[in-house]
Amino acid sequence: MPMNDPDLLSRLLQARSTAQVEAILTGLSVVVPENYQWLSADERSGSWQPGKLHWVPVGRDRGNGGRIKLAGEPMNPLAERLVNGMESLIELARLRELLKNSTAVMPASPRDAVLRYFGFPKLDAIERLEDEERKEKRAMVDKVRKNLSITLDFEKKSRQFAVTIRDHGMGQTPANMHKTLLSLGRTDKADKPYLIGVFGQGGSSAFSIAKYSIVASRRAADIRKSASDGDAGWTIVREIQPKGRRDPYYAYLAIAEDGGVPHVPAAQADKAGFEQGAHFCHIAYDFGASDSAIARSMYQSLNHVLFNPVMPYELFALKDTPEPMLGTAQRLARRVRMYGRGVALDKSFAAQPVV
Amino acid sequence: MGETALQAQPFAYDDLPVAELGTISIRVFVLPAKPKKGSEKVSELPLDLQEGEEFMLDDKGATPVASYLEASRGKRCVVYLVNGQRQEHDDNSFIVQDLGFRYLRARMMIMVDVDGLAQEAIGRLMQGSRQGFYKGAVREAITKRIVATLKDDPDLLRLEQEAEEAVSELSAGDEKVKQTLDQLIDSHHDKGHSFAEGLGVAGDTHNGEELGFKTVKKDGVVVLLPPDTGVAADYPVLTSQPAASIIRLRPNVPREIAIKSIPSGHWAAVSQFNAESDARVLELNVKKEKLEDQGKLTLLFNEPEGFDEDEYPVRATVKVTARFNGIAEARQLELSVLVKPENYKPEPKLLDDPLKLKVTSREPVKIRRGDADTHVRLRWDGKDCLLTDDMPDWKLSAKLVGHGTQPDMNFSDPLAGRFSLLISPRPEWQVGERLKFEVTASGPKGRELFAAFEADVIDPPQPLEKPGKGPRLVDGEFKTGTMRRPPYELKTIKRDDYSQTTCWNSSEWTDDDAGAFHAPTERAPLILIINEDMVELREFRQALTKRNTEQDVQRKLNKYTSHIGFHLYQMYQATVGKKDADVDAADALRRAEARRVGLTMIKLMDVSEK
Repeated sequence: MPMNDPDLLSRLLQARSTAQVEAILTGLSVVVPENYQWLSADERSGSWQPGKLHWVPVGRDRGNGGRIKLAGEPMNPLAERLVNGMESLIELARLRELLKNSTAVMPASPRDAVLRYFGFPKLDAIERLEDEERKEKRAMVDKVRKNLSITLDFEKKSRQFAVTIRDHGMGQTPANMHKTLLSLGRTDKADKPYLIGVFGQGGSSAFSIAKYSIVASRRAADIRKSASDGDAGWTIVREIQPKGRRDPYYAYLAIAEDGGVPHVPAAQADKAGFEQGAHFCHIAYDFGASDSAIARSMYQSLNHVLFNPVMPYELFALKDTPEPMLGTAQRLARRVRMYGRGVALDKSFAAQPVV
Repeated sequence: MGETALQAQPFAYDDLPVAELGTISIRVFVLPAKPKKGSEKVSELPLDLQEGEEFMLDDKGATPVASYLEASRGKRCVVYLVNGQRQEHDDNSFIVQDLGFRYLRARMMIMVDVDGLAQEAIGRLMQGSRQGFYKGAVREAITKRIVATLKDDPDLLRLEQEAEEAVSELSAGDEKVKQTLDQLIDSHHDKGHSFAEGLGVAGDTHNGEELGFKTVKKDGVVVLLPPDTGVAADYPVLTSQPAASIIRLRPNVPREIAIKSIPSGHWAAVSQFNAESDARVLELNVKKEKLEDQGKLTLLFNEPEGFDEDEYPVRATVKVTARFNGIAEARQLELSVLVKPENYKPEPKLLDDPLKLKVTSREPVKIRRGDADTHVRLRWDGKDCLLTDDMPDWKLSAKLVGHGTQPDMNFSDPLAGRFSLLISPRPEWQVGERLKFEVTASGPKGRELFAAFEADVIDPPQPLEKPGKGPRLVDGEFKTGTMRRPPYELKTIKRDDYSQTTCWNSSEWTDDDAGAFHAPTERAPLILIINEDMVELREFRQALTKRNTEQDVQRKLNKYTSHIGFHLYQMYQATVGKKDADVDAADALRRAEARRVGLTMIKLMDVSEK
């Protein structure tokens, strides 16, 4: 499939198995690692061939293996990806706020930002509200959760799981994808107290658990600065194991020597139904088990890792209907409310000093 | 000047003063135990339930919290969150060993939100690998704060105690089995060394409390006490029916308790029969009546008008004394009474403009010296959101009235108008000191509500006197010495009671369980529980009845029970002074061991039978 194929983005967004990814790769003009590889920060084996796709280390860091292989358990990288999605939604709301009022004071914390932009408090606090208010806030939550989802797919033939995290947040322009979604440790979050992450690399560990990862992103329409910002950038990430060396690294397909990713025109993105935000699909994801119990454990595990998430999201676990994901704290608070006081206990102590 | 500032900055970071670590928020959930089998009510789904949400209402899993945990049971039930994301966790061994809530471990989850910590403190905790917090000074300080806040929380203590009391309501073991078990244990100690080596002190030193027995003063009465307490005495002794270690009472509902003699025939010789109510609980009325073959007590707790629900549970002690013709020393029995309502009253109506603030803990409040905070219960008639909103209209404050350094004082979040003031006791406060505190709720337009209370400083709780097994004459002061055999209670459990109490690391018993022990606590002795309905035992019992007389069957079953009890006793001994790294794993092994011994015993008896 050539890069100018009008269905390329659709096929990338729909790919859920290694066979599908490899079929796409076969049609692309990719310089194989044997002909072009990063040996160190400055050395390359082979030279750059303009117009062709090359495997470039994530973060443009040849030694990225140690920084990406940080996932001790399969759910943590997915939680990190979801947190990135939440940040993308918050940042989009912030950018929209700045478009209206360039001097608007930034929110003091992620919770503050969610309350300001989406109108609901901490998810576990909603259960303590009085009936009417609780229903009102819950309706807001249910509306917002549709903007972020995680989907588990299972291909019976190959017995492969694929996990897709999709957010409808601000998205990145193709020109910026390699500096943001495909970077390592490059973060502008630290001086934005309303964002969550700090190290700027948590979600990247998902690359190490999947055979292939498909990444696509498109900038939200109202925050684009030029017409080309409406194009959708895409790439594929995989592990490269150089022969005779024991230091694998993770690389993505780049079209430019500075690490820029390929992209499709806005019309093709529209045709594929890819309006805005980011799409991460981790294919042949290693859960350590290969049965459908993963679907059930995923509900509990993700709710436990994102115990009281800043924002809600949806889980499609091998089915078309979503589970609302509001965290275990909300589940417990809800359970206690249903049992009633005197039967179960839900007690909190705010702002206890640590000395 | 600028250069000086630049040089000073790194030091300021490295030496972050502990006083500036910031704050954490703690939220604790305790779910009810699983309902007794056959008593489950069909629960109506809430009206606002949305499509797909039935999923979260399921009640599957081995323990009440199982469907909320990520990993296998008991793991990660204490979570530490940064921006709502779990970054660190503890297992239920923290709940058991650091907080002391053994019976709640399968029902409890704790959420600790560290977002209120200083950014530098969070920076010290977080690791780039995201594999948990750095186990350094900040983490340690957080742990200390959690323990201080939760260890003496009255709601948690109440729930723990209720769970523990469920055990006392199990059937008592057979007297003959207990005699055999005593012989086995005594014989074991005759051949071995003192298991409590190093703990207790013989002689007249004043350190006997270390063993868990406080110094007791009695005046020439015969009571049921451990055999190494006081001097040996003769029967008769007094006992109660029901024989539960705690008598439960509902407010305004009379309850009759039978007082009997052991041996029962001695009752006819009773010349005097007295019952003494608890002077600290004037609401408890005790009526006595001497009948031909027993005494009858009628206990009634008259709930006064305006008595606050938060004052429950109320605890009292009733002393029963009897004199028998021809016997010099009186016989005495102490009954522990626990009063609490069966159902809570409906939630009070809360107002946008509160008018009342009051202290609902019984006064004088007891402030215990030590590391744990004292919780003082309060109630107001304002809506919770007036205190918990992001920009609350009302604020709470507290102060120690009079001179002296103010202690650290914090509040729990209100729930239906109820909340607690947490007081961290000052080290200079002396036992016996009486302190006065004032709590203020400050609202809009200068409105203020006040409540005051008095508190007495006391020592941390001493373990209660353990129930004994034989008649002992106690006279004047005495101290316990090195113990050979600690007091224990032998209980039996049947299928109907499986969900009533925990079995090792599980929230309920199964037909596969042979027995379990519950380690002694401040309130109860070592409890050995034998499962009479273990499936193999049931089958063996049926087989026995076909070829044996009733007496033989009973004798063999007694042998089985006493030997399993003895093995459980030895298993408990092996745990003394040890701390399990993984409570669940250790209990799983003990569970399997108890079953193995039970099966072996049945097998041996079966072989000898044939």
